[in-house]
Amino acid sequence: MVLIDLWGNVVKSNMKHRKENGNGIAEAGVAMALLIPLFLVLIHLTVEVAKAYLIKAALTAGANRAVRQMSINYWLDRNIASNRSIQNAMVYDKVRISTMIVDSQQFSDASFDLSSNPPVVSVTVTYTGGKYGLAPYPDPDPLALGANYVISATVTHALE
Amino acid sequence: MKVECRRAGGQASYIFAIFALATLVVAAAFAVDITHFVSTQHELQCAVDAGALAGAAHLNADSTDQATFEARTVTEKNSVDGVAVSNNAADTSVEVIVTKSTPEVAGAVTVTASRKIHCILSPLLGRMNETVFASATASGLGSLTQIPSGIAFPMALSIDATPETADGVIAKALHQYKPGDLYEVYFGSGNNKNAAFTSFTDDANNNYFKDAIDDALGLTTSSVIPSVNVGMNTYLSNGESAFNYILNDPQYSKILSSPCIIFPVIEGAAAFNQSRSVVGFVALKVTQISKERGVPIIKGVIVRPVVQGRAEPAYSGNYSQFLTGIAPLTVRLVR
Repeated sequence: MVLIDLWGNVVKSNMKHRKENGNGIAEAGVAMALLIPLFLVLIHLTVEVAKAYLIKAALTAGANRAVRQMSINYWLDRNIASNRSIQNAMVYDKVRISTMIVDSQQFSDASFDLSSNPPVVSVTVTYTGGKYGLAPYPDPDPLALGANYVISATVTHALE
Repeated sequence: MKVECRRAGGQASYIFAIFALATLVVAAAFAVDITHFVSTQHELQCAVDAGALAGAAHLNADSTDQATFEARTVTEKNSVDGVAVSNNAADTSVEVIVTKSTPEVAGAVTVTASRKIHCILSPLLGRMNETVFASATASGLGSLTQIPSGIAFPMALSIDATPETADGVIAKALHQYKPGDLYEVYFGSGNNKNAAFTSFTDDANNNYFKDAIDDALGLTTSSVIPSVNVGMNTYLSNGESAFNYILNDPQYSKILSSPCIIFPVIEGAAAFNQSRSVVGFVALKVTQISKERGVPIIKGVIVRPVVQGRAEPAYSGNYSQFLTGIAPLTVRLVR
């Protein structure tokens, strides 16, 4: 089909270019369709890995606060070394970091090593996505890591 | 011509996609490595904080060896990225500097650590490692108002009593002294005393005092001296028999060799068989134990050691300014 514009020029070749442009856009669309999911996966992985490190940093700060208090409170009540209820009341119930440490059950029993030189106490705190009202992690969780993926931090202090 | 146009259109979109992907990878590399850096820095800071606090508890010792040892040991018991913070660990450096205390100035323990961490994604950009540093200094800060169990010597000093000395002179009251002064503790059975043995919470016999002195000097593992705090009532007794132990038994020479002995301070007369409220603490470097004209005497220089304990709440009351300026200092992070 041959079309002639108002100035008498043949426009057939312009239509060909339009078709060629359309092919280019289609190719770009296919390329983007392949790459966009890759982008999204990469962004998701980046965000989740970064989030893991930030959770770890927050847990370290919480464990540090808890172990210091555990160390100081040891000489106020030496039963704290073996009694979880006392550990909760004197230390764990008072250590909270918004969205990161929300329940005393995130802390394991404080580990007192009175035979080491110097005597020390260690506290471990864990983050398990979805437990104790914590935000799910990873989220979304396509590999179904769920409760098997635990982030933890341990800090050790000398007893005071 | 047609084929060239098609190729040009496709290549532009591929170039755009590759450029976008590369940008995203770079951003992801930085995001992951920066958060890894921050997390590692937190862990390293916790390790050096713990080390400095552990070392500072031994600033009163004659040598700096124990402070250095404990600072290093406790730092090593912490880990960064699952590896101990120790000079024995790869790419890790730990340095401990101890400044000794003097009677006027509290010493300090500084722990500095560095760890070379391997970047996770930045190697894509040719950046293989980063070095994380952390430093903590612990020293004496804040006047002691609560002391751990097993530390206080079982003898309370009166802050305002003015006893008659062996030479018949009226001695100054404790609140008229300052750190570095020589102070004399009189605890006879008459009125010429400015101190009395104390069983802290209740009346006690001489066996208790012997056990308590053992506990305060670290000669036993059994704990009989409670944690003592300002405001607590302490019971005063005649412990002259206990004094005979420390005067005659060679094992109590540790009183003289200890860097300091910490005494609770009371207000008012050191009257036997009465309770007094603890108003503060004073530390003496004991230089002499004797009995002069029948009066038991302990002489010592008033020092301001750095000790374990609490400094809250701050002193209040009649002698708050004196006690704030003379009480032992508690271990705190200062930087």
